Amino acid sequence: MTANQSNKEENTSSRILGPAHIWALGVGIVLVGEFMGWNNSILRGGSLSALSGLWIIAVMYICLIMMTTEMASVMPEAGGHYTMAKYTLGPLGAFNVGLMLVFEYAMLEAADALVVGQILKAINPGFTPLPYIILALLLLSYVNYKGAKATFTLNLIITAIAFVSIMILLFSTHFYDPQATLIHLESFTNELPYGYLGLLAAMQFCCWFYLGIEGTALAADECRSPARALPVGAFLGIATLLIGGTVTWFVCTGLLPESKLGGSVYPIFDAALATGKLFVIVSAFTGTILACLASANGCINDASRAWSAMSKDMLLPDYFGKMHPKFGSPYRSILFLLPISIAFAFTGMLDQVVTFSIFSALLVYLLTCIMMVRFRRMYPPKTLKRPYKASFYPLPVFICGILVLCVLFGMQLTYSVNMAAGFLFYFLASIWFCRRRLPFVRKDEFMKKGNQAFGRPGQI
Amino acid sequence: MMKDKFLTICDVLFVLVLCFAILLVSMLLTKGSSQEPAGGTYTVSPVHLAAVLVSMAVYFGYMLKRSLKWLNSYMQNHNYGEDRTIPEEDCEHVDNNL
Repeated sequence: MTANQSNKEENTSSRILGPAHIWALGVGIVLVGEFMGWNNSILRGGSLSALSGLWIIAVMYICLIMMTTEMASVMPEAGGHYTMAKYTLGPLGAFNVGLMLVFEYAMLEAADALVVGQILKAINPGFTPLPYIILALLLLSYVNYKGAKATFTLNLIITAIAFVSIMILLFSTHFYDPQATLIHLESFTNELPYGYLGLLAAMQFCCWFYLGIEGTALAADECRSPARALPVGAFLGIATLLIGGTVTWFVCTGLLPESKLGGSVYPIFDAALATGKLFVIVSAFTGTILACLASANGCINDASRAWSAMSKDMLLPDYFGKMHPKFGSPYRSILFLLPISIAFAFTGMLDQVVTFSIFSALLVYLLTCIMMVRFRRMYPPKTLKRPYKASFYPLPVFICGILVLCVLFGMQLTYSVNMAAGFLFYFLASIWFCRRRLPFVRKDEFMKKGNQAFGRPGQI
Repeated sequence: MMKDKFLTICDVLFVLVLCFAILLVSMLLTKGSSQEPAGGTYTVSPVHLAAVLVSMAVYFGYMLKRSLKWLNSYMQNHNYGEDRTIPEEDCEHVDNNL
């Protein structure tokens, strides 16, 4: 057997994912957003802002998926946004996108651990949550250290159980029976208490319902038919999250007063407590814990792989790119990033940790708009055939870009200091990279696969 | 060799510690102030907005300019379709295998 034949068979055998897998992958990572974090949008803008934001942000993610799917379907290597940045922005852009992805996931992981600690404390106020936070992160890091394959299967089962727990909560309210219903929405849906600025301020936390769905693009090279599987799977995923998010909003807003819901660490669990039904409380408790663990598990995997990918391209010392000889996991990256998540979990400031995760994600989305414009200019559809082409270009770029800027504007109403600090950090990291890492980047190695796949760009 | 390895690890740790220090300070500075808007309404603070806009412009300006300059220079100099490698003086890479 020739090497080519062998490679061909290997590629064919690794292309096993269909739309259902892509859907499961996207929803599995994101579902935790319905169990915590999103309710800060109610604190910022009231319950009607939270609902409006949920639907507006869905439009932003649809545009984002259109762009990432087009680019990911022709990228010569896995890696999602990092790879896109590598070939359209260059090494410094790729380093920044990689770093943003690492911090997006590391912060989300810290937030998950914080919620696990807090919900355990809710069972017994005498509990000290910190040991449990550290224990959860150590355990999940160990699971990732042993390899990702079994982890993904486990994540899908956990996600299904978590989704069922939301449905149990919904039906336990008897929302379909006007006489017996526990839902009382009237007083919460009649106005915007903080006006349109409140809506903008709420939108950042509405991202929490979808944050991570764009990661479906990471699986492009494992799809049987990327042209069909990626858009169908991702759009079905957004539809599922939209329905799940609306149900979550409906149940929580109907069961809890706005003041309590806005400040809750675990809104679904608090809503279950409000029903007073033991079975529903146990189910919501289990769902919250499992969703957080599944999410943290996926985050450790994604953050360590992004760190490892940067290391393989020499954007970071190649020490971190080494894979475990037996388990095939980026074990050095996993161990190196663990203290970062623990350190942020230690702060105990959930809304700030969530904000930095969303902030990093929004910067990636903004850069994705720039990448898409560059990609279309460098490789127009006439010269580079792609399995999926985003419709109505450049409309998705404009809509996504404007909505991201709106969310950033809303964020600065409450978190301007954090945002300025975030920009300062990425700026200083960029200077560090140019001085300390850029000389190590081997130009031809770095661009090799892109050169082979794309050839000379039409317009630079 | 050991010294190089140690310096490289310290180098990367520097970035992470920098991140933690900057973000932690900003978190502590704003702790407790990020609740409901004061007086039941939001106001746009020109100072805060300007600080965010300036930091955003400086960051994106620096990052995109440097990165695209590197990429465009590479693409203009690279000879597509031939197996020729880039002349050594263009590569300026340093081996750093730990």
